Amino acid sequence: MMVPQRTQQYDAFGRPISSYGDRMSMGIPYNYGPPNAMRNNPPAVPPGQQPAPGIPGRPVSCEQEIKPSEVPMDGGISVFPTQDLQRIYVKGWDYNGNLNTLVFVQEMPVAQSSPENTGVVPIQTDEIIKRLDRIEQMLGPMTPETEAKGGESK
Amino acid sequence: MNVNQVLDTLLQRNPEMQNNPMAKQMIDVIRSGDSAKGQQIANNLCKSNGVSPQDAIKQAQQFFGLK
Repeated sequence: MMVPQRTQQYDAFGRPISSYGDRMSMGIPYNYGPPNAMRNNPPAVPPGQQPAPGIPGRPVSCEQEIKPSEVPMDGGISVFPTQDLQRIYVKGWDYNGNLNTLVFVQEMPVAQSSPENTGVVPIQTDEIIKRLDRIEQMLGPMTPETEAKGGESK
Repeated sequence: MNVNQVLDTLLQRNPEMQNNPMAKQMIDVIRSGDSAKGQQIANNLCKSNGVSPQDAIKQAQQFFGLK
């Protein structure tokens, strides 16, 4: 019968290495808190590493305020909205060393066209009334009798 | 030491440049020896940054400690 054998290991100073691995022998303390406490902690950012930034840029008052050095030469873009949010300048370098700019302008809302302010309906009404007048003239003067006959014939 | 060796050293010391498409493009232009293309890019960069080519050369010389 084969019995697994554990051989005692010793560190460089002749001290036995515990069965808990190198953690204790290296002086790394265990976390004696509840097990979930560690798992719920967000991962720490290693020292010396900055968290990944978002899209570079800043609010500006005009396009001339933007310096070329504010646009990184990493193939990405920078976004510069105006303070009143009427325009957004998007700048990026191309492979030929040109600083290209895209300008996004806020679309102004179009005024809703209503019959009152367009004047389309009154013109059409006038046209219709004129046509009716012409038809009326062609038919002759309207009398109550003809109106009654016309009403019955329908 | 030729230009390619200088570029290799530069990339070794700045490995993040491998992930920079603009830097890679410009390094490719330098490696190809296309001086006209290189001059065009340099002129465009000067124009975009509002610097004359002469001033840019002076700044580059100062940066690299050549003057």
